[in-house]
Amino acid sequence: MLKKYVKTFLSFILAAVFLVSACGSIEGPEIWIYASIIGVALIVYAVYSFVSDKQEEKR
Amino acid sequence: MRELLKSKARRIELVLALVLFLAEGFLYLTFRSTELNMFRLYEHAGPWVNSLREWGSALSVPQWVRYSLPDGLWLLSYLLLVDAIWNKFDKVSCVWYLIMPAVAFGSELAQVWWGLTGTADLMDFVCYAVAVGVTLIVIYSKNYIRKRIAAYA
Repeated sequence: MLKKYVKTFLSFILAAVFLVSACGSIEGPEIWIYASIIGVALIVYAVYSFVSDKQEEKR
Repeated sequence: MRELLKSKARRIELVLALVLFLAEGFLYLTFRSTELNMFRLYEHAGPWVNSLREWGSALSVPQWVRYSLPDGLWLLSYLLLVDAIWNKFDKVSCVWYLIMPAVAFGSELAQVWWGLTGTADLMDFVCYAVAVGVTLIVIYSKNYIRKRIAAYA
């Protein structure tokens, strides 16, 4: 079984790659602003999940 | 990472997702407008992109294959990869499962209501819905097989 924090890390990388690829499929630069907002939210959630998974594993 | 490739179902999901992602990229490169952001990257890729586009322009392909199918393939590819990583839909994994469908449906709705660049199209919604439906079938099938195996064990 993959550890939970490894899954979280892989999911974050995957979401980031697909978010960038989604921006590539749209015209105009303004999409990068929306993508940045989603990206920051993803980073915050990934860090929170990563830390709580690690703490859970320690226990 | 080796753990990810141990299960046969996961291996199938990973290969299928990669094929779908490449197919999506192929459709975008061949048939879509060069005004898209991705073509800023590909303008340095050399003449093969132009050859591909010339070949594509000679083909008669339905509109929905050009404009909607790639989006559905993109979403299905993401969902299969997430399912290969998490292997089940639960409280912890649901955010990762739901983030890209939310982005996909949200971007279409933003095109309708807030004038985001792009053309909102019913077929885009249909392709996204099919991608989500196929993923649900995959998740339920895996759960069903898992339960049957557990019952026999």
